[in-house]
Amino acid sequence: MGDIRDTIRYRRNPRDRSARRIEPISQLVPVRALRDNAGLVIAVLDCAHGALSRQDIETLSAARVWADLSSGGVAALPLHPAGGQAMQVLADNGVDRIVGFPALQGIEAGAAAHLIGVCMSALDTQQVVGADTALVGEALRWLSVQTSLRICARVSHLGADGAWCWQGDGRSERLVCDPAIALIAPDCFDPLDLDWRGEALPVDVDVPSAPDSALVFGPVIKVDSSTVALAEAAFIVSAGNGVSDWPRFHALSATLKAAEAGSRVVVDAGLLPRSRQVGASGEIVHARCYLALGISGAVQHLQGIEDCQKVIAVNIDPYAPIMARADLAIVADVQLVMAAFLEEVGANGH
Amino acid sequence: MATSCVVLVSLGRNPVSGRRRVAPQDLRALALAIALGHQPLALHAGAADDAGLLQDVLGRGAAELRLLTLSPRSDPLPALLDYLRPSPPHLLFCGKRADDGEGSGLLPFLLAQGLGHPLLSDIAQATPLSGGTIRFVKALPGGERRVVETDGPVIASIGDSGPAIGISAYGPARRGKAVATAGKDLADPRIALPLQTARQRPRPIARPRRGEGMGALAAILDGGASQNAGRRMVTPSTPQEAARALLAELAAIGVFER
Repeated sequence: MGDIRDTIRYRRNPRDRSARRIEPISQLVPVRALRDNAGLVIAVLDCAHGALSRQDIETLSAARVWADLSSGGVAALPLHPAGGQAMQVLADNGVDRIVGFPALQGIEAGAAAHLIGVCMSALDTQQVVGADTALVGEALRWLSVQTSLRICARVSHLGADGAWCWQGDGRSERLVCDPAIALIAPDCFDPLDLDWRGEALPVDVDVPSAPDSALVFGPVIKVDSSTVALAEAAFIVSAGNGVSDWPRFHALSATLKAAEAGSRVVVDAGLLPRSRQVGASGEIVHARCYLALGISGAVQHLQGIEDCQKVIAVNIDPYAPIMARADLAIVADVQLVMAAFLEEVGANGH
Repeated sequence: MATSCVVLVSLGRNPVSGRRRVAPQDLRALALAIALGHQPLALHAGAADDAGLLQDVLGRGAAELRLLTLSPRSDPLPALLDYLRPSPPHLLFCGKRADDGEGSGLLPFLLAQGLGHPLLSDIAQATPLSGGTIRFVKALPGGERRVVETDGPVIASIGDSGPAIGISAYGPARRGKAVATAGKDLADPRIALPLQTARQRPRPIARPRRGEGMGALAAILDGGASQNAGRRMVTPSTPQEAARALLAELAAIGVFER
């Protein structure tokens, strides 16, 4: 693609939380060595697809806050194998030890709880922190029930007096003293800003095989994104006012097996049902990939896609706000790109 | 056997209006039991005030509503275990976490341990197979699913990806009678400390990282390299080129292979 020119980017919104990118910082920051393994806090990370999510980064921040209270270190425990970049980000976030295991793809929460329990006794610690995501949250709850360790959920603040936990709708909180397992609430622990890097030394822990579960789980099934609720979909193709060729748009989403969505303008025009509206007044989506076609990117729409990992935008206007948010912004006419794409993959547009 | 299937119901609160309501996840659990062809017993342990709102579940297919009345600051777990232990239900469905109060999501796990039954969390769908086996579909993040087949007994918790909540039939809901008995009343040690208003948190904003200097702040505000690393804009000369760039990016993310 020799003709594709990278153009200069322009002002973006500093309140856009997607700007808190998860990228390695400079190598010039000094490495801080941890003296001994005493008083480690285990940070349990989901690390799905080998990359760290925002929840994982918040877990690392919370673990660092907790470790600093007792001048200990942080041991990261990724439940899926971490990729190369993720390992570097772990060091940047002040991780002193990394507990690694071979091939844990498709791990089930009961087995994960067993694994965390083994790590706790191997590292001789009783402090575990994790985000309340599907896998980590379930595993830590199992661990707490099996080991009678005190768990506190929805932790918004960790201090010397204990953990503050949100109650009800999150407008009130209550102190829990001496927590052993902390499940952190979202958006409560800011990303770290350290002037040093962690050692990130790998630690080997022998894991005896988990006791057999009473239930036999089948393999993980990849579900067609178009059949699940929009908030759950992993891949979303979204249309804005720039889309006029609707048959092609539907053909494209069918070809990509992606969930269809739209901006408020197209939903108001009756071109897509109300349940397909993305934005502050519609659905807040959490897709791995969000393909925005002909969407300018109003503030409310950008709020709705804040949690999306990768955003690709196709728009004729290079100055549309969505183009600043997008990981790949393609300046082109949407109708022509949809037609060319369907032709390229050999699908019939009409 | 009406008691072979029990659904735990509780009261929640609308997060916007603050009005009391039956917790939506519990209603999804009820819908799942109905979809399996059961007429479940709806069970609630809690304070007596507002319990009238729970009549609603009788209009959604529950055969009976049983209330274990507790004092306001007591723990529902001992009351539920005390009631369920003499004849543990074959199927026990509940919401994943309470809509109001502590909302720690621990109750299904503690019940599973207390009754000695396996727990399936975040069930999206259930279908009966021949011979009493049930196929449960567990929801995973990103719309992924996992199938588990079991003959029971089992406890299943239902999250927001569970079956849709239907409408309540007004007549049956008013005619049905709730049976209230006093439950085993033990004070919850976790609510010994008083509630306080949650601390206000500023909305997080992008800031330059240490060592990057004030130039980085200007770079963020101008959309410079420090925050935009990995973000690209391309201006292809033909639609075909744009389509190929799109295809390559989708393949790199791993969501679409031609």
